[in-house]
Amino acid sequence: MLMKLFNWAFDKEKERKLSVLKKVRLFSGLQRKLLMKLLVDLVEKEYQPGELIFSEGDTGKALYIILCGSVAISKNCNGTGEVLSELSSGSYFGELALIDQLPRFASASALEKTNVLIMYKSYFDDLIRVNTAISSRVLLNLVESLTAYVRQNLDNSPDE
Amino acid sequence: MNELEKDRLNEMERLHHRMPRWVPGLLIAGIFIVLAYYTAGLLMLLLISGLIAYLLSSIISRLEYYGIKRSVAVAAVYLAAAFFFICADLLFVPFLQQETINLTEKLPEISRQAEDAFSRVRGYPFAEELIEKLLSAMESPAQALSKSLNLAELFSQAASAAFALVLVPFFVFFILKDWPAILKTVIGWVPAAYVETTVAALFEINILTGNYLRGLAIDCITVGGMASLGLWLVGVSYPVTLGIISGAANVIPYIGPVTACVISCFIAFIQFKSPGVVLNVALLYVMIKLLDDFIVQPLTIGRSVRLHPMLLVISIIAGQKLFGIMGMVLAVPAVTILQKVFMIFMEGRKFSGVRPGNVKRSQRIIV
Repeated sequence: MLMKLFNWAFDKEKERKLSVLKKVRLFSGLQRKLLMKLLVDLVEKEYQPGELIFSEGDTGKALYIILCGSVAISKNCNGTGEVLSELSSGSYFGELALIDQLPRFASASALEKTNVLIMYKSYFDDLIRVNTAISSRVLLNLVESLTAYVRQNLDNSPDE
Repeated sequence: MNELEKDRLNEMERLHHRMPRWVPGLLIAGIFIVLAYYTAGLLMLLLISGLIAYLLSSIISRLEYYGIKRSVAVAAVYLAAAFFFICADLLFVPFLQQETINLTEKLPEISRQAEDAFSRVRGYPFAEELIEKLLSAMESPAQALSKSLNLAELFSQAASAAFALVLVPFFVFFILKDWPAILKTVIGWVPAAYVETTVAALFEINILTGNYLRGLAIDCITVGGMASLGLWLVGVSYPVTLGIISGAANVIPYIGPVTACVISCFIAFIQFKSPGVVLNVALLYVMIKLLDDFIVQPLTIGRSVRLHPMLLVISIIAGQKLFGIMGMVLAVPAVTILQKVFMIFMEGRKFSGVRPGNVKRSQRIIV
């Protein structure tokens, strides 16, 4: 009886979302309580299939974390939209907005019904300022992600 | 990519960059202002409820960090609040009752002292008229009550207070419980192009409100403490009560400190019947104000509120005209928030229409 009441008091939906957040590379190594804090504090939005999340050239102000569904990242090349990548649950995009607030260089749109968590830059700044352990972990994850991207681009570039 | 997909992408781009719906927006704002004017009382109850909910929301969030359901967290906070009020009632109400009885018994004596004190300054220009007004305000509480209120009015005011006492906890409960759902619905209505700016505005409002309330609390406690200490050193009666009044009055910029100073000078004058002590009390309040303006406020509220002094005074007067004393208290944070939101929306225009250069195709993508 007591166990039932104890289980009822806890949020199952949040637990499900937490399991997705645990897979996000940017937050790997962070404690459960901090991941729960992100779930509670961040704004969630649902996008319908085909709906544009942000457009190429928009000023980037936030990072998006996919809780469910999938997102296409596309770029307008000579008037045609070229899909650069498809991202699914547990992935994140728009991370450059956390570093600078320059225009997005690609567009993002939902491929199916998609729920995302939106992390505004100032929230991220606050998060890493408050706790040095968190900041070093998250910034290291972010740098790793950027390094991987740079290496991949160097590998793909033609020899001079 | 075929023609159909291209058309779809172009249509999506067009929808994404469409102009905000200014006309319906303005219409809704107009209706809201008219409604706000005619339902100022209800709106004030909602504002107070929102403020209480905001203060409690950090406790609710902290409970949620442990995975507890929001509704359970809200119920737990309500139970804790009920327990707190019952304890406070048992501990403080007898004490407060005794204080009130003491003060009521002493009022005729205070009135006599005041008359005696004022008799010394009669004959000065304007003093006669001012003294008469003050003395008539100091009649016995029963007389004053019977003069200012009739029975119907008394019942109506008691009913309004009871209505507020029931409505505020009711509003607070549902604001706290349903806030994430309300937020999600509102964000759902926002067109994609404005989502990030809206999230930015919400975040900044949260930070500003938190900083302002924290700063204000520290500022009021500091000013109240300084006033209590100063009045005690000067030898004025009731230094703690006057300190509390000074701290609370400090919530209203400019007007609050002046009111607190006048009250303390009045008490000092009745007690000492000497203009010298009144001057000392006035000087004390000038010193407190200077310390507050140049040291305390820049370290507390100053970081969150950056309003031009003229805009600050105009907003306080407008707040008073619209919502009375609560309007004066809330005017500064409200205008600061409006200013910040306006700046965020203008900031979004800096890079509009800018397109970056060509980017090479890559499987791993960073945007």
